[in-house]
Amino acid sequence: MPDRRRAFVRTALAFVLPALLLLAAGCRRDHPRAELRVFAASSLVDVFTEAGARFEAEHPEVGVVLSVAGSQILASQIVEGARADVFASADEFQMDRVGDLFPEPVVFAENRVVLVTPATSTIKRVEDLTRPGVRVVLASESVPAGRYAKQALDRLGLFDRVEPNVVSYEHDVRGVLSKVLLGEADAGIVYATDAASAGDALRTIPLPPEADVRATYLIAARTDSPVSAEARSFVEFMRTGGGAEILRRFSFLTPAPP
Amino acid sequence: MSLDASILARRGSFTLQAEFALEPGTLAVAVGPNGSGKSTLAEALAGLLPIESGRVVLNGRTLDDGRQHLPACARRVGFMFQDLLLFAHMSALDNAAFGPRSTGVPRGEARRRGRHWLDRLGVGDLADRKPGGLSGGQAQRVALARALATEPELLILDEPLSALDARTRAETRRLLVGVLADFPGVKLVITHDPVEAMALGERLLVFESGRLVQQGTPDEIRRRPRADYAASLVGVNLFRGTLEAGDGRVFVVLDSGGRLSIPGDGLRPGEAVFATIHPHSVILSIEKPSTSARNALHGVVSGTDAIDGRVRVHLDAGPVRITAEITPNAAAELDIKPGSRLWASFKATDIGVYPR
Amino acid sequence: MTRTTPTPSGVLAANRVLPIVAGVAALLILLPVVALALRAPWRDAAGLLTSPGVLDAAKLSLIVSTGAAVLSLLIGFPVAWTLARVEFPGRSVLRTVVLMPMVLPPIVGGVALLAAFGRNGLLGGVLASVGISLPFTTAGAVVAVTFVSCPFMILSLESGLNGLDRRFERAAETLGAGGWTVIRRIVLPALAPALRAGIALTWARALGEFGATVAFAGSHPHQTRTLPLAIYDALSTDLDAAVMLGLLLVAISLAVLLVLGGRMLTR
Repeated sequence: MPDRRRAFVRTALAFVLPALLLLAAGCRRDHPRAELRVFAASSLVDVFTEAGARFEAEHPEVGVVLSVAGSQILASQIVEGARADVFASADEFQMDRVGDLFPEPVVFAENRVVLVTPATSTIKRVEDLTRPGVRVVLASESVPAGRYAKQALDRLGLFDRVEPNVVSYEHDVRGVLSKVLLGEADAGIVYATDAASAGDALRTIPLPPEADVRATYLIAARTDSPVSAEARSFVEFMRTGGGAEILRRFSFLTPAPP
Repeated sequence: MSLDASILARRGSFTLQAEFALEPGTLAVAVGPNGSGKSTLAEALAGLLPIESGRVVLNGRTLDDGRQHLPACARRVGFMFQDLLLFAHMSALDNAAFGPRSTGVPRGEARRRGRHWLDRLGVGDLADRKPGGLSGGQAQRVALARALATEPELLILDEPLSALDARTRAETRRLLVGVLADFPGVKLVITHDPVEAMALGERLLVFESGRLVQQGTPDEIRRRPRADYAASLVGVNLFRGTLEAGDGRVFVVLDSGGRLSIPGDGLRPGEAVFATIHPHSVILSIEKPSTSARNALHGVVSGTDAIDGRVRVHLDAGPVRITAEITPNAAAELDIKPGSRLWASFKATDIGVYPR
Repeated sequence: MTRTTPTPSGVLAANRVLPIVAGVAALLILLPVVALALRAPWRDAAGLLTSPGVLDAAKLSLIVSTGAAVLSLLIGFPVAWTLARVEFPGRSVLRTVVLMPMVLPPIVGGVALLAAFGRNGLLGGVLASVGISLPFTTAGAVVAVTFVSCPFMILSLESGLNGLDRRFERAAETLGAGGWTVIRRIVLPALAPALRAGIALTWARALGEFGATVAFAGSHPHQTRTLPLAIYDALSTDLDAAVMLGLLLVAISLAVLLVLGGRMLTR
């Protein structure tokens, strides 16, 4: 019996000690910081991760806490009472839903939709999507990327002819991207930023100018936020400061720099 | 047309060894206490247990030779199980028709055969019932009909009466004897009940501890049991010993110790023999009997049982154990109870002696 | 070292405490469903549930989950039989392998299926050479859903097989029935409760499958967009529709579990 008890104590310590150490480490903080909660649309995740770090570097008194999800989910969370000091939406409609709390949204980035194919594909232009047997993957019209893709194809007068080739309407852009990356689909329409993130595995084919559909990203600071000054400062940072620079590096278009 | 079997079969640590032949038309009964190997025998014959070595040949077909084991479904060996194992999801008729149906007989013909056997066994009116709605005796008949409907060359009935109550048992036994009498193939009944074995069997196979210790007609076994179980089967005292002559008389010197005086004609001294004494030839008394022509043993009563209006008294007389059968009156007079000290005596001429 | 068995009073105490915990657990499970029902736009229910998209999704869901249940049965029975009846060294390995989809995140399962049966997958070439292409097809959705739900069938059938009294099979053999006849006429009927439970569980799991389907078969309204996918799609635009679809799914699942798995549930 004593043996067993000792073994139990040892096991318990093995689990508890590291946990305590972690807690202690977590508690250690050089000085208290204001917590800035930033809600950002999924497609912004890489940009905002980097931007948050740089913003913290420039503002040591602020800690950025990032929440990333689809714009519609973030908007729903805010409606249901989640605290967000800054909201960056990929969708104007979702920003409107929270207009009471975020009354002054501004466009801070734009994203074009482009055609992507596997690197070895024979598809050269968007018209090739109408060839029989080509497997096209689009985003569902329930998400902005899907609506933009349809708009673009409509403007080119191609949608009705491409539609029979569409094998899937994915629920998000990443789904489109992965199907093309895996070679299961011959082509997909995604945001330029997503295409860029995939690197050399994909070939990116820009759409003709008449099909230049752009997604606009809006950002706003919450007016009744306890850290509203910091929030406004973060919005400015994303519009004109270091954040804009990062956006461009990730292939977003930004409004003409001042 | 016959069954020839020479079997060495193993199940776990239990080994069965048996060699025998059965003729069709004769009702054979394998009898022995629990664990004696008779069920193992039945399974080996039916193909439910492959034998290790030996041969099982049925009507010229080799069913098993220790290397090639013909599967149960191809043996044409009918088996009625102790627990019947009627298929609960099928009607009595479908149970009875299962065998023919499984061997490729068209549905209609299979059902006709099933119905024929249900009728033959007097349960035709229960054809549509599921086994759950049958009494014990009815289920027994359906199970027998199911086995017979396959028209087997060898029919094995494992403890066909043991699950029935006394009244149903007598009735079923009558039916069984009638049906089996008409069955043309080799038939083997397995039982642990000596009375049933003696009553049913035309030929007995007596099993003890995995060995076939004696086979023969009930009469042969009654007259000359060669194993303790066979002896208890027929209710006689069985002794093993060696013949010896001395003082102008002949004795059987018992293997267990002690000796019995016997009539000496036609026996060679030194020969190993069995000696039997029927319990009703044994007389019990409180005083030592005076006649020296009798064998007399002094012992302690180890127990009694009542059988058919008689009392069997078991006596421990040193190395020898002997059973006497007396009337209840005599038992009362002698005030017999366990621990009583008594003399058991019997005439030399009542002792049966035959070579081992 | 030996422990004394619980005293009667100890058992009684457990009988008082554990049902309370069980009740709380049941409430916790029920609560979200009830909340969903309370939130549902019942006034628009008829319109929402009869829109073409919903009917298509419901029809696809029935086809796909039924197909998956059938396919799971065809695959599951041999596997369960092998696990329950055949002794071989790799038995526990086989069991682990066939039950793995239960712990694999479904979306990973879908990607794994692409790696195996996709156009560029290991067997993609072989399948293409006989004219079969699974991704983005209803058949592909059935495969994806089967991959995830088949373990339920296997578990149910294996435990059913282990619970059978094999003497009945031996009895059938002595009556002249070969292996297949024994399976068809004795084993399967005796296995009926386990079969029903297996089909109900597999079907229910298949009905709710999302990740593997979307990863392997995509989401096409007329091909592969089953109810869960339609719900996810509606979540971003039409929450009311999503809620109604969710309740529809709950209702169908309950109906199936009650009808098929009735005996299992009331046991």
